[in-house]
Amino acid sequence: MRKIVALTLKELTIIVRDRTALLLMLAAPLALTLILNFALGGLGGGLEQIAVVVVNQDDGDLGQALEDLLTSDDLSDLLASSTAEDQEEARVLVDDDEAAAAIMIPAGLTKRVTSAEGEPAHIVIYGNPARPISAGVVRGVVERFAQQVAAGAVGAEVTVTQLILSGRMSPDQVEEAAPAIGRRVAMASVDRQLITLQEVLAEGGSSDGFDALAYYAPSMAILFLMFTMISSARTFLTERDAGTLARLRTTPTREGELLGGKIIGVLATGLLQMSVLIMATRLIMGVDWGEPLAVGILVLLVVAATAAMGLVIAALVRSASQANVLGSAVVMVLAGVGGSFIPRQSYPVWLQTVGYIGPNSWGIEGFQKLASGARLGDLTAEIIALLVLATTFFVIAMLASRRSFR
Amino acid sequence: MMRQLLAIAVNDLRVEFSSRSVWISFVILPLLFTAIIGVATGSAGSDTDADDRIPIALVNQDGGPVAAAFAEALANSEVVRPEPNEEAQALAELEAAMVEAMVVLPQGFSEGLLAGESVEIPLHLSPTDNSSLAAREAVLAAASRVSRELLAARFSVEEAEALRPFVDEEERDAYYSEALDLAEQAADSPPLQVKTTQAAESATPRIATGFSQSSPGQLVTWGLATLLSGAVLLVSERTMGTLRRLVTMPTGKGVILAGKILGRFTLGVIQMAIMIVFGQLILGVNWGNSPAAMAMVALSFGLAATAFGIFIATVVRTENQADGMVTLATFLLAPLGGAWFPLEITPVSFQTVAQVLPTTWAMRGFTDVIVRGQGPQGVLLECAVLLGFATVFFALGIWRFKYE
Amino acid sequence: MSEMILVAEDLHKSFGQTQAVRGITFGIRQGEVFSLLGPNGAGKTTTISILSCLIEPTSGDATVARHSVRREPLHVKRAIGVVPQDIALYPTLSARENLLFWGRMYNLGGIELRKRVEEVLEKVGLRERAGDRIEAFSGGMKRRINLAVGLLHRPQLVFMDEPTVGIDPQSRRNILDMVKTLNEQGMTVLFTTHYMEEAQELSRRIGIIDHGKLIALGTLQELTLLVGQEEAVELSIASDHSTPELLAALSQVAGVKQVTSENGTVRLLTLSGNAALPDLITVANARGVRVTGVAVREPNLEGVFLHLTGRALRD
Repeated sequence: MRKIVALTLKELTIIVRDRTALLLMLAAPLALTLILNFALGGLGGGLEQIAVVVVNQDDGDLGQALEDLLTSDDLSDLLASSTAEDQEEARVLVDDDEAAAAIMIPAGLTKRVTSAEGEPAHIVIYGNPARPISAGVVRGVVERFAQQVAAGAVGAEVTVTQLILSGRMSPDQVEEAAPAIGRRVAMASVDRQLITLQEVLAEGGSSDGFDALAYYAPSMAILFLMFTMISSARTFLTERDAGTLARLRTTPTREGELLGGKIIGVLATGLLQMSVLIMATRLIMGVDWGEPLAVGILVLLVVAATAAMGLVIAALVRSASQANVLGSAVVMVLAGVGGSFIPRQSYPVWLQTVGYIGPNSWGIEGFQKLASGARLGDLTAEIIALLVLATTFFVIAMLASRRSFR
Repeated sequence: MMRQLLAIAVNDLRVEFSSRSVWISFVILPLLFTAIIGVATGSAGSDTDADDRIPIALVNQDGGPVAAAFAEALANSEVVRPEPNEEAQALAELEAAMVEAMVVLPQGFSEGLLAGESVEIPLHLSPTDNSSLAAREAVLAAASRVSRELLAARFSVEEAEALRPFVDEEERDAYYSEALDLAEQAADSPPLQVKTTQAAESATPRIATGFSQSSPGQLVTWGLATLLSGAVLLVSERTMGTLRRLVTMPTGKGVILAGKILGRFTLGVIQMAIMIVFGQLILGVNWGNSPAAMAMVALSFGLAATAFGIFIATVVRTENQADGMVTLATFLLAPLGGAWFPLEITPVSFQTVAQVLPTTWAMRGFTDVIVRGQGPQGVLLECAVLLGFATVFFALGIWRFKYE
Repeated sequence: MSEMILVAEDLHKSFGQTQAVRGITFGIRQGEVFSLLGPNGAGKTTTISILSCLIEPTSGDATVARHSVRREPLHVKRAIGVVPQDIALYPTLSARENLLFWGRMYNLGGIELRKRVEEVLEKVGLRERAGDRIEAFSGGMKRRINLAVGLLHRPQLVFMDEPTVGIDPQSRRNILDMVKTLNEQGMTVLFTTHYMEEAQELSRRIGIIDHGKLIALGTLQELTLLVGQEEAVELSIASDHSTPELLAALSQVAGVKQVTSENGTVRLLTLSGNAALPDLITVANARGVRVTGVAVREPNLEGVFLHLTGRALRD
């Protein structure tokens, strides 16, 4: 037992003295957490000052209303609007990547819509393919406007149709009364919502938008934990190459003690890393990870699963540098499918399922739940999954290493 | 001299490919990953097909006609997929994150609205993330649509009544129902619609939108990783002593370094070529808009990354450190340069700062070619910047390089 | 007659198709210094690995300090100290930290361990540098710590695998002196080497190993008797001049027992080097071959090796 302690302490001492390792273990995740929080905090909501060009060729109320809306103070944070005289000029601006979209309000729009007959009128948005998300947001704004207008138009259309059908008015009378009806219906329906939402947020959630910090603190921690664990497991190979493994075998130490000492060393390294990261993010960035006991247990499980994964990689390759190459690739893939940079909820379901093969996806989900106030009992799925992953990886590693270490 | 240079380059390539696992990280994983991420992000945000809609629970405790209309509006949503359920079970599913939100249409919902009242309905949301926000928007949209129809119908009734009052309640109700039906129909083809178009040359099919981002993104990521790893090879040769041996031969130091640079650069270019061809043929990414422009960007980026790799080799001592630095650099430069998520969604200040990274310019260049259909002239700026990076890092690297 | 502390019986070891050790049998007496002498690749490291219970022999067994290598490895390991050919130390740990760690692996602990570490540091003369990291040490210093580790637990028997390869003369001298001192204090030492001088200087008995077999075993005297009173003569000539005809002609010279050639050096065994030299040179010159260097060596292990294998001990 004392030997296992000695072996573990040796691992920890060596890691702590390796400056590059510390950089990768601690500095990198902390830096990325901060940077990503800044960059992606409020995914989608981070959009600001979207450049749009408005071409209003309509000489009626509607065109003016839309132009006013787009250039209004209310939207001045979201949009940086400018106007242009003709459509060609606007298109050029978009083509030169100086605007996210050009909004073409055609001539005669107001007349077309209020006459409520014939083909529907179109507002055309000429989008910049290099800025699809911004263009999408602009589309949303314009569509909401169109819906408002449609509301009034629908009301007018229905009213007029029914008045004629019920014989209350003749078609000629309707044509005369139409503008007045139109105005009345517009006033009656503007900004009126009959159905309002009473939002009930599940425990702990905030309605301020995507909490980037609460997401990236654990996701970056786990990402770089994966690197550390692979690196740590790889020392099986580096010790073999350096001859210290052989030397350990010439001492009166049982194989079980050697193996146990190494594995516990790997685990201890991971636990140390996570503890420091959790405390650092808590102190420096104010991240609240959740209920301490639950966090501790989840950390233990995540470390176990990632460590086991590292052992598998070390067992499958033949040299230490191969371990690096394969390890980096695996982490890259897991980072992608496991949602280390982009939350998995936006992935199609099948991809989310694939992501479950990585300890990082379970870890991130678990930590997110804990951060929004869940208790240990709410994490049954994550706990079981991580245990399964840890055990499976460990078994694979043991079987695979039987070949390479005899 | 040329022969020795080539010999060094070829030998390096041979050493690299002497282990089979390199194929995994050189070809298989990058291609696999490009495909996966492309599919994933292609479905994100823009129109999704039925199965991928966000699931929400719909608890219809009312059963009346307006509730039905509301349910239908939700069913037609392109964003959410309503799943009818009982309240208790729906709450449980919400807790278990099997649904992102829960809408309750309480008893008296239809009755109240038909009578002209405003109604408030509870919307339960799971802890904040993109999906629950999107779900909220979708529910708001459905509510808005139903509300409009009701208002239209109500208005019509009022207008009619002002002209000629109704005989009785029954006639009024009938008129109202007719109005609702008409409103529903009319709402299906609104008089004012929004159409979006794009520049003709770059019309990429919608399904490739995801790949248009992911293909260059993965190209930059894996290309970076491959090219930067030249640092590891250099450092290991330095510690092994083979580098020193090379220097003792009647071959100039410059030739040696040039040979190694060439070898690593070639490796990166081959990988990029494979990924580009794969992207074009299999994923339908429009790399072929202007092969010349695309080649310009790829080669400039390749040089910049190779140069940075050489530089890394000068700041570390052991192979282990080199590995660490390469990993660090890859995981900082790639995502922050826009390879993993579009810089479009980041604050303007971030986008400005990100310009110090070569990956930002590479992504910009590739996007120009694929999405904006630019030709060689359009990517001149990006290539110039990348070559600038290359020059600076080559200079630094060569100046500081130690052969032992 | 002191008892045998180590007995190796017909050890065989194959790695796949390669037979590294082919039937090695020898014994070491308590308190003696025994060396295994042979060129690179002869099987020395494999043999020591078997004896230190690192690898299992394909067949055969060895008894070390009364314990079987096959059946009681833990007991054997407690009794032996191993100094491997690699510098098997942790570079980023200090000398003292390394010793403390390895001491624990040898079941030492507490105050006793600390005392012992200081003692051993004193022995190898590195007490002042004990707090420095191994990576900062010179090659010779590393080898000294390497040796120190093997001595921590006061083993009965120390195995040293090529302990002086690639280090400066001063450190080498230091190590060789240490071996002598250890032996004077009663330590039994088994070491492998391809340096004839070391084997001659340190050990009482020597086993010459080549291609996995012990081709000779005995004291220095016994071994040199194998070659009788033969002396070895080395002639340096241009390598493309050493034709079979030349060699045949040289072997005709009176007293010459054996002639071989390698890379421009002709080696002969003869009863008296001095007597044969003039004729040898005449023969060579008659064939138009210039002799650029001459060496005459008295009976020694290299001569023995040459006699037995026809090759030089050093490559």
